[in-house]
Amino acid sequence: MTDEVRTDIKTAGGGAFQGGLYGEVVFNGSGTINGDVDAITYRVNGAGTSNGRVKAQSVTVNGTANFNGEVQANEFTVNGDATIRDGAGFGRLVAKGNLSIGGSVAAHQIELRGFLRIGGDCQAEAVTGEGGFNVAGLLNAGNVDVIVQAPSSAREIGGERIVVRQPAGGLSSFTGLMTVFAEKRLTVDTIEGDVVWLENTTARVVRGKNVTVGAGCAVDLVEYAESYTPAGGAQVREARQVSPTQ
Amino acid sequence: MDPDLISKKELLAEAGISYGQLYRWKRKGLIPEDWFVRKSTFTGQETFFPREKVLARIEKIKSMQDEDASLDEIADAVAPDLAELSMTLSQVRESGLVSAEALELFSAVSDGDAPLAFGEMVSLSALDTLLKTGDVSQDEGRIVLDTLQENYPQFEGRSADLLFVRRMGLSTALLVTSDAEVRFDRAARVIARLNLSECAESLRARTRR
Repeated sequence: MTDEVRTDIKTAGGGAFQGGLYGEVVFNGSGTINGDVDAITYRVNGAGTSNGRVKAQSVTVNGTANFNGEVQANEFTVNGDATIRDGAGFGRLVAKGNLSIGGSVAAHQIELRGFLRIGGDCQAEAVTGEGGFNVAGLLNAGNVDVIVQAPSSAREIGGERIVVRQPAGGLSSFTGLMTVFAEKRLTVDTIEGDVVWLENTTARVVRGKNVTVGAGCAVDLVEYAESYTPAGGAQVREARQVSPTQ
Repeated sequence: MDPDLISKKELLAEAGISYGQLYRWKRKGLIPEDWFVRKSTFTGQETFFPREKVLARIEKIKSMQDEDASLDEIADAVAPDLAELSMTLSQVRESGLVSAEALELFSAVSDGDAPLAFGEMVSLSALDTLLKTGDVSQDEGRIVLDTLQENYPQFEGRSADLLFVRRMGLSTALLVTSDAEVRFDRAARVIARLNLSECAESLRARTRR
């Protein structure tokens, strides 16, 4: 990596560029890159499309970006709108605007501040923040701690600690309010974790060591190893203790 | 239910691990993706595992943890890093990793003494296994090798099985994804089904010795 020559791309109007090795790629107007890109920074302030893979230390999207290929970035921040057609790998993902990813995602850390849509599985050491998400497959994370602000769903969520909260000042245990807050609900088939703490969540099965099912939840079956705490406003059809593990 | 499969719940109870551990090990690549088999049950979709493989793997992870190995070290040991394993044909010969018969067949189709690509190492290892068990003859070994060389690259990133089939004196080899169920007509005999990731793993284990 010592002899590499990295030039910069900066567009103000528009233009199309070839893929390759770059220092800084900045789209202030609109622009397209055809081919794989390896850049230090990749910034889209206007509209940018890449047709190929993108690898960069940092990617920032303030406008609208389309990535027609895989993306690898240490830092990926979306303040505007971004679409990644295939899978992606991130060190840290900050999703403040709208981010839609067609394939699966592996990240160290995901900070949710907007809406994140993932067409495959998602794995991360930590998923924190508030907003909405839609994971078509499995969300596997060491620590999930999110405030659900928009209709959210996942097929499965698994991990060490899974905490799903309703927005502050949201619903009390007064179930009459449930319909009002229906739009800020997480719907998931299965949740499995060591510590599971839920509010405003609809699930078929919740399994864990220590399970708390809070206000606004509707769960068909809870299986817990050590403790189970239902809140007054929770609807749980069946809860049963299973043999504790370790 | 298939006795070769174990449900996730049973697995946790039998291995004495928690959901958190299982998901963590999955994230770290300690338990391969294709061992998580989703099946419809009467209550809904549940996850199952190949019983013997997963129990053996968990045993290995736990014993390595007892020796204070980090998850990354364990991942290295159980999931071979494909790029790292590179030897030339003459190095393989000196190492005595595979039999002379397998080497001879292999050197007939490979050129020179360039370092073998990972796929070639796996092919060689698979061929060696089949020759040693007597499942295939020398001539049939060539079919196996051709099939592997031709098709294994297309399985990149996916777990593949090699099948060797005989029917009325004819034999052929084929590659399928590991989760594929394959059925033949009554006269056909599946002589061997080899998981190529396991071939790679055992090869790696032997190179470490």
